[in-house]
Amino acid sequence: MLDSKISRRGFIKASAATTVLVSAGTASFQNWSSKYVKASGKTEIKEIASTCNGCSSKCGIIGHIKNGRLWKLTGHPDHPSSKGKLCARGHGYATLVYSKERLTQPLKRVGEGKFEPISWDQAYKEIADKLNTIIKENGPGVVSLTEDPRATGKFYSPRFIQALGSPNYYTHHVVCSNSRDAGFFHTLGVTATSADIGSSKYIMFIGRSYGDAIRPSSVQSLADAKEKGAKIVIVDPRLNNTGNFANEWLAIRPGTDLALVLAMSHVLIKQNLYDTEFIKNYSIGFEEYAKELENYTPEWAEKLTGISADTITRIATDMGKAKPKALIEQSWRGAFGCNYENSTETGRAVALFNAMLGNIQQQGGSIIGAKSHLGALDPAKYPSPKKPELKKAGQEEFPLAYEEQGVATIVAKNAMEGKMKAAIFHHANPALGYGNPKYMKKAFSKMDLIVTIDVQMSETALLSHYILPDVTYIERDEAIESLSGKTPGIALRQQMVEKVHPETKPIHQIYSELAKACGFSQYFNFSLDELNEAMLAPTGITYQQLRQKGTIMFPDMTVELGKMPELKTPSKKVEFSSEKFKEAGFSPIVKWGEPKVSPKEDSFRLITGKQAIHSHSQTANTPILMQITKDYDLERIWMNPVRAKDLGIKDGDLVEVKSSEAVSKVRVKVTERIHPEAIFVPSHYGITSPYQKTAVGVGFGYMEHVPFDFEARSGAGNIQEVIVKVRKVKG
Amino acid sequence: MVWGTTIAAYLFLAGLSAGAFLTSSYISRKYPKAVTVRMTGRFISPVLMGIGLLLLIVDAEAGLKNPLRFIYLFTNFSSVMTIGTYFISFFMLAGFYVALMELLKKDVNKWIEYIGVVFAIGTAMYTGFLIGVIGTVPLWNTAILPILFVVSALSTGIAGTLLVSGIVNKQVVHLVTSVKKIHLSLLAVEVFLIFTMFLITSTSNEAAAESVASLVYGEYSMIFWIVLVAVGLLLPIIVESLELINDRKMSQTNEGLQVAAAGSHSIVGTLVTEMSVLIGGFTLRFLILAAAVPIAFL
Amino acid sequence: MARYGMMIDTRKCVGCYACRVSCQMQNELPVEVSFIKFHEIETGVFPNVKNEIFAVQCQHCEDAPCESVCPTKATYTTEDGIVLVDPEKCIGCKYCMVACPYQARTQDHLTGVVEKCRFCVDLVAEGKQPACVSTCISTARIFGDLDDPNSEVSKAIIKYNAKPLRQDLGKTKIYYVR
Ligand SMILES: Nc1nc2c(c(=O)[nH]1)N[C@H]1C(S)=C(S)[C@@H](COP(=O)(O)OP(=O)(O)OC[C@H]3O[C@@H](n4cnc5c(=O)[nH]c(N)nc54)[C@H](O)[C@@H]3O)O[C@H]1N2
Ligand SMILES: Nc1nc2c(c(=O)[nH]1)N[C@H]1C(S)=C(S)[C@@H](COP(=O)(O)OP(=O)(O)OC[C@H]3O[C@@H](n4cnc5c(=O)[nH]c(N)nc54)[C@H](O)[C@@H]3O)O[C@H]1N2
Ligand code: SF4
Ligand code: SF4
Ligand code: SF4
Ligand code: SF4
Ligand code: SF4
Ligand SMILES: [Mo]
Repeated sequence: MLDSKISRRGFIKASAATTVLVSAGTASFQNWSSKYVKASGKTEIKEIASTCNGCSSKCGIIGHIKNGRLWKLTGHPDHPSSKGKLCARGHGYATLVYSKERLTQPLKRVGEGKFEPISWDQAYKEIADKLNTIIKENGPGVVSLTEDPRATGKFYSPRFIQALGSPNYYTHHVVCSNSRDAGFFHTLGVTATSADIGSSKYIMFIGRSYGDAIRPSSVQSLADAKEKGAKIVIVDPRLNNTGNFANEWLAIRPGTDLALVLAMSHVLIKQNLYDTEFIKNYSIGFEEYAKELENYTPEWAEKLTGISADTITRIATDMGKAKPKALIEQSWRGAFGCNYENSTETGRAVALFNAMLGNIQQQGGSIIGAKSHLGALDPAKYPSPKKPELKKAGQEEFPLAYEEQGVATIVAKNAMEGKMKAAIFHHANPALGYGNPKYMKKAFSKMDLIVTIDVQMSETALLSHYILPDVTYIERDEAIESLSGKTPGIALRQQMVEKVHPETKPIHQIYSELAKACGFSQYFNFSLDELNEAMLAPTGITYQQLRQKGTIMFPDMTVELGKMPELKTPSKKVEFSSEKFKEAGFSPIVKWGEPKVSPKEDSFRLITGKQAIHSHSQTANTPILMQITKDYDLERIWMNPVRAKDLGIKDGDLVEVKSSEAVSKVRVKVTERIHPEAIFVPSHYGITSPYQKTAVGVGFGYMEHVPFDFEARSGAGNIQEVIVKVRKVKG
Repeated sequence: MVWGTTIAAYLFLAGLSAGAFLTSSYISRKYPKAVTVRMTGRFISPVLMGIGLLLLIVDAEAGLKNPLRFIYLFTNFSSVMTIGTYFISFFMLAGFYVALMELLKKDVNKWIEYIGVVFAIGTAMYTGFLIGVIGTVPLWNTAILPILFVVSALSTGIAGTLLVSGIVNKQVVHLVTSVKKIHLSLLAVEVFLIFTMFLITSTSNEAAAESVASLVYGEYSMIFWIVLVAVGLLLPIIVESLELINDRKMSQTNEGLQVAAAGSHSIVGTLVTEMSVLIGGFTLRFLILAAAVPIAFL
Repeated sequence: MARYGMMIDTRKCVGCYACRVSCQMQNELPVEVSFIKFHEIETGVFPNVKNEIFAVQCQHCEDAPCESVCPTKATYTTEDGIVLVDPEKCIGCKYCMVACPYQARTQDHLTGVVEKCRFCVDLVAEGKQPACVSTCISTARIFGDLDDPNSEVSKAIIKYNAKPLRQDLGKTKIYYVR
């Protein structure tokens, strides 16, 4: 028999419930949980399906609601990212809804770091007036909107900026995957493939860590593959937390992944292990590439990468033999998302290596996903704004960048040059995370209008003229999200609890009301529900059903493996040689290129990456997550013992990190798990906003050391082209 | 440190209290004339035990918030703490009774005093067994530890009793020479036990070796060598030995006897030694708790 | 009557802390209180390095040391072999914390009660999996009846030759694969 004395405790404290209810708005999550939930040990629990906002994976979640308050979350079993599981952030970030440090009302800046609350009407009116004046004086090309695209934003934000007549819509990919996306897009016609990990026999990860930069279902499929005996190779200057799954860790010199992939491609050709049929039928320009590859022998790569020629040959050979159930996982940010001057080329080389294995659209290979067919608003009733004729700022300079994402940091550069006057930031923290914070601050100070829509006082918000408080994802409905992948589907974010702060508003409402103030309410004359109904129409699913289930997959639309789709490249084939690259002034075929900077004997390269418990800057102020950092000193930088010894540094010592841009102090984790040339910096620390009391002062801001820069091809931030010196300091 | 200063103080006071009770019972038999010493022992014993218990209660946060829960302390006979709770309860009952009789200037019921003696010994032993049964901490988990704690309890008991009686009445201290002799031998035994314990545990177990290392040359070495060994053990051993020699000399001459009887020679020596024994007694418990290294389970 | 137990596969664990946070939410623990603690063992020299991650919580010992020392009987073992703390009996004396060989117990300073993994008795009573098990992103955790040779956990323990952390310290109900 099971004894349930735990929940009995609840009844004793039942009287506490009413008082806590009254102070709902300000009660911290823990306050609430220790008093309120326990007070209702046996009340009925409502379950609401929704989606997580802890990171870009947007997993399906089930919210468990006790007496109108969020208690806990579980993973949605049907959602392709969660498959029933959630990561630590997924569980913990939800406590944001009850955070004491949320934005609760519209704010207007009245001095550096000083704000005063204003009414929504005043905010709308003043923002609209300024936008209209700026556009009247300079044309619409000087206004911009940047965001981390999530379901509602994806629909509303571009529409809003277009209604203003501007094409300048940007996403955070400039410091995420712009390089990989450009490389893949011009090679395979998609910015990313997905990997059929569970069925693969040989999997190589290049700077991609499923165990750190989490999507729960990916880790599960890797576990499945491992169980089935797949060979797993991790290429990373650091033994990341996915290391346990790996048969082999290749501790590569950072920034040289391109050389590795080129040499492996060389081996495939040398050993005649590439898929000639596939190349003949589905690609162009292979001969040229093969000729170039002759230069890139494993011996050549050994010198650059530090990985032995034998190892390179052996792995490439084994992968060639295992094809098509062998692949280099498409990666994300880690090695070639936005890091080095050669990153776009690395992206291309990886896509091409997979093509040489003939693994595209094959079981155990790289999958070009399917999209669900969703409906649109009836244009007769709900007119769309005209597509602006102007070119998106940055497109001229970086024609290879994936256009829908753009090069978001061009906003700062143009502002610096007086060519960008207004910026709206929604769900993004560019002042801390996109580019050098000093540069960003200076650039922002030159703009006439910055509006930030956020849930907390971010560094970007601090630099804004107006701050508009969003509700949290626990308190809002959103537009339907289309899930693409091997099997497409749809997911819905739904409101779980009543708004905690009455003055906060969901983004669709903010845009619609601001549109009215700006004078183009005709483009936002629909409700969110009407939009969702219209999107759902062709699927045969009712809104009610979707609300019930939260996530619905379309197994009938699963991509047919073994059948090569027509690609969205100019040639409709895999492009070993790209005209687009030629037009843009680059080599049409991939060639080796050095990173911009390299460390010397006495210096290091800074590299970065995720930790399982945080997402960029957004989760740092979450006490239940930051406590883990504190318990395990996770904000420390990693250093190899050989280098540490030379510098007289011991584990846990305080050091000074000095680059061309900044000086920081932080503690060190001395570990054999990192390449001697590299210092690894976990990505989520160094919050400077004093309003984020839990986060401020923990660790240091990586971007402070990154020179403001653009990678030539994709415009990405080149965020690992950073050399630092480290010395021990007292403390 | 799961158990810290508060629990160290509790263990110390419980031992001291038991030791004081035993000292006073011994004195009442051996030196019927040393009334002050006897009374002092009988008064401080229950008071100090009470203070110790209060510390325990303060450290038990959940009990402090819900005092009725302390009733449950009597329920688990497989727990040394439950056994100890009984010991302490009986000991304190007897202690209070004896103190009350002393206060009322009535005769103490012999049998109740014997019960008190038995449970005083039990209490002193309990303070050692409480941690001595913890297999997780090899430094504690030795047969020596309870003996060490009993010895230390007696020596702090004597020290506490003599210190307070000395303050109350300068002369009495010199009346109880055999107590002083016992005291000296207890201190010597303590030194022996501590180092034997270190030797045995640190050679038999890694965690214990770590504990001992932290005491002998690590984190706690300063406190260990200076406060415990020098101040708490060697200083009283030396001063007490000198005093005993001195006492012997004095008792051999007439003048000496007179001086002693008049109590005119200084008792500073006594005060200093007893004080340092008490400091040592507390430090011993503190260090034993602080230096606890649990077994490595990985 | 069952004898509940768990298997944790350290070869799969990525140290993601999802189990820790889901447990805190499930059990409504304060931020500072966690039932699961993490230990890492790094061996080897660059680039031949191995890093083992151990998620350690109450091992639900048989003849649990914490239970025998607990003076109030606040710590007890259910018929299903789950070692629990009755929060209304615990005085917070921490004797159990001292006695636990796995340092699996923590004190909740809000209530003063000493707590530890409860094997999610409430969920298990409803036939569900413990929170840390159901959320484990790498399926490193398996939970079930150790007495039932056909349970997933019993089979996995045999298949992977999983062992208690310290077999010499007495029987426990969490088995580790390393
Ligand atoms: N926990 C967590 N998960 C997340 C996110 C998060 O913020 N936190 N964000 C999500 C988002 S937006 C993204 S883009 C993905 C990113 O997913 P990933 O790209 O997998 O994540 P990162 O941790 O940035 O980088 C992965 C690895 O790249 C390694 N690396 C660094 N430099 C080099 C190099 O030069 N060569 C090679 N080969 N490896 C290198 C790092 O050591 C790191 O282990 O994660 C998603 N998931
Ligand atoms: N050092 C280092 N830096 C990195 C990375 C790294 O690995 N290392 N990774 C890079 C990567 S991959 C990426 S994708 C970028 C991400 O960079 P960003 O997209 O800027 O992500 P965050 O820094 O988390 O900022 C997100 C902002 O959105 C706000 N927000 C959260 N929820 C909501 C909401 O519901 N509504 C609104 N309106 N706002 C909300 C948050 O409070 C926060 O201010 O960071 C990059 N920066
Ligand atoms: S991976 Fe984690 S944080 Fe990201 S969406 Fe999924 S549960 Fe949320
Ligand atoms: S692991 Fe510790 S807390 Fe759990 S049963 Fe064993 S002794 Fe008790
Ligand atoms: S702290 Fe509570 S559970 Fe632990 S031994 Fe004391 S009374 Fe028992
Ligand atoms: S079984 Fe339940 S109580 Fe125990 S660690 Fe897992 S989630 Fe926490
Ligand atoms: S959830 Fe699973 S993988 Fe993550 S830390 Fe816990 S046991 Fe390890
Ligand atoms: Mo990203």
